Amino acid sequence: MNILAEKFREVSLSILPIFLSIVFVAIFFVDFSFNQLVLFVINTILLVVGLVFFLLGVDLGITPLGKLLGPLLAKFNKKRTLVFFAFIIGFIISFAEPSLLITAIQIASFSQGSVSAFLLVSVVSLGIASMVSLALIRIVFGWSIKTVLVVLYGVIFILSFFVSKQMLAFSFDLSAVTTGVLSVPFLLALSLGITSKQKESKRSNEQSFGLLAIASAGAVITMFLLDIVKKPTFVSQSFENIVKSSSVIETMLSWVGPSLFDATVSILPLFLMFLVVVYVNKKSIKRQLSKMLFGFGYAYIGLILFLISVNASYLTLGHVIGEQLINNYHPIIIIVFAFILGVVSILAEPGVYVLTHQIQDITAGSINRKLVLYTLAIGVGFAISISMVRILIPTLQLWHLLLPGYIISIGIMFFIDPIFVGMAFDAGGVATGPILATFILAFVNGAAQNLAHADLLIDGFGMVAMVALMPILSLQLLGGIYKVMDRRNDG
Amino acid sequence: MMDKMDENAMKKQYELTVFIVPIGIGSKIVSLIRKLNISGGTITLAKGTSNDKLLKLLQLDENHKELVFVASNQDKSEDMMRAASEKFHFEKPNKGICFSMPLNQIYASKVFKETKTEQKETNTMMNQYKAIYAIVNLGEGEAVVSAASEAGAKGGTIIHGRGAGVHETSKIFAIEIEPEKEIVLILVKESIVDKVTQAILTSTKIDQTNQGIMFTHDVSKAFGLVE
Repeated sequence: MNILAEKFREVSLSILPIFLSIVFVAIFFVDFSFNQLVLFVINTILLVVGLVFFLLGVDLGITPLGKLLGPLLAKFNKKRTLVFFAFIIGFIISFAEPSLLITAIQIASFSQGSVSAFLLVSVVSLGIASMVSLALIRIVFGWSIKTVLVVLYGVIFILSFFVSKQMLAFSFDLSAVTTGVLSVPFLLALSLGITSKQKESKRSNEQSFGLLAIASAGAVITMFLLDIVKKPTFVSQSFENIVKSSSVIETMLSWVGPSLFDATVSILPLFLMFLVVVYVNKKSIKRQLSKMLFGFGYAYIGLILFLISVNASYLTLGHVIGEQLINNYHPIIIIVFAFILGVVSILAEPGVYVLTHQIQDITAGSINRKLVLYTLAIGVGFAISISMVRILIPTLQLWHLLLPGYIISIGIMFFIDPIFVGMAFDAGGVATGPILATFILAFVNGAAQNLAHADLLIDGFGMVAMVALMPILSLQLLGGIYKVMDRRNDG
Repeated sequence: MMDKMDENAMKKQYELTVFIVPIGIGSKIVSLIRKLNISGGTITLAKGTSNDKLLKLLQLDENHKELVFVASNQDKSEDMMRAASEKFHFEKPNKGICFSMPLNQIYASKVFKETKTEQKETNTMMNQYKAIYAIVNLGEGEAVVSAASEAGAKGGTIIHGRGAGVHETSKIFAIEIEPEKEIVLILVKESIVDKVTQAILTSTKIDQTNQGIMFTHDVSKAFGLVE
């Protein structure tokens, strides 16, 4: 099977569950307008085509770029130079992430002018950038992922006593959205590029994951510091109504501009780095050059189609489903659907696809891709369900769940293999991708808007924090099972 | 009496069978051959290219493959090649290929007793080479190479793979777990092959742990080995 047919088959299989669940919901539970259904069908096709292109582009262009850049960075003999360039790369990648900007604008609008979106984006990028440096230094010096994570989450834990409830939700949310569709494959490949140069195969396998995890923790820390220093205040207000009734063509066209902009902004810094790498490696890159150029083209086209389809249809559908389920049915129903929609939407996330494939490549297929995928999906399913429960029971607060969750995660860490630790914490950042940020976020907000006691501000954002946490738990549990199996074999 | 000796001679003939199949089929091949009472195989990921003109133009001519290495005795090798090509339709294009080659020696515990096919010493030219394949747990490849180097080998190539012997299988929710392995390929002169394999055996204990296998076969020509 050639790569095109292979991608097409895999993407169709990963979109099918979300498609079927929405069809199921539409038949038995929720009334959609005719326009919404037409948009749904058109955009699902667009979503498949977009994802196929995007993932081909990642394979041909983005991942090779990271793998080329990694060794270039590792070549710097002075650690100071490595830190400097890693910082620059981390900052640019984070700063150019469109979903970071969108979320920052939302949060800034709640703050009554006490923080600007620009400040938020800068602070988060600063955190990401310094932690990308730390993560690369970790790989070079061979520090254990466990130690680094314990220190970072220890700092987060201590700081969390001094920050406001809202800021807690915002910080985890912002750090999760920074690891977007393009930065995930790039950063994964970057750390792979550095570790592949190491001689001991076992150690390099363990070092291959964890960069995203460390980077996300950095963003949380800098956001906490911002809160402690500036003490911004936030006032809850309702989101503008996103369910607009306009014609199919109008809706589609209205999303072309923004999607084009987002895609361009996020691919541009990577493309500039590509030009630098080409310039430095002029001779050796020749054979790969046209392949990588095509790759960037595919990724760009794919990203535009993907963003249009997600925004033009799935966003509205999520909102309508949430609204109608909470108004017309028993709360149990919406909790069950929260689980199902969480599971099926994570299967369609491009970042998850890339991460699970990389796990397969690095372990030569020994850690089964599907097993990781399903474990991750179940984790996210629980995260969405729990978020719904939290919206229904206002006394249950976000930190009641986050705190024990992270403490357990850090605890389990010591009993399992480092490769699973890195993988699990990376997956936490990867799971919060664009489908979650549109479809699921709209679903949760749609439900929350129709409950008198729900606090939109904290509930919507808290959901993202939960999604970042649960895969860490579920994948680490999988790691525990592997460990037990392993021991049984030895004995 | 004659019959028995013939049978023994047959049993001692070992072969390495190699399957090249689309990605995802490798594990299925291994579970298929397990049904034929063969202990297991080692899988590595690989890439191939397609000859389609359009795909080439679009730079999409790459495809992903898996290689499966299985050591077994001769008649079983034929059985499993037949079974696999029937089940996975090797007669159709791009579904997979398989081939086998004769082995000289196999080292692994229980499953195979150490065997030595008598090599007729007709060709005593000193520049005859042999290939040694040692399949060990992840991380032990380096040790194999350094043990071999100390015994006179010039170096080795480590290939990352996965797979499991008969004692190493376990399942999580019906998905089989295949531990990570390393395949070490070493080319040495025939005169030192025994010394090198013994050195590898002492350093890795392949013949005791049930978690590895080593075999050798003839190489008719070799270039690039600097003395």
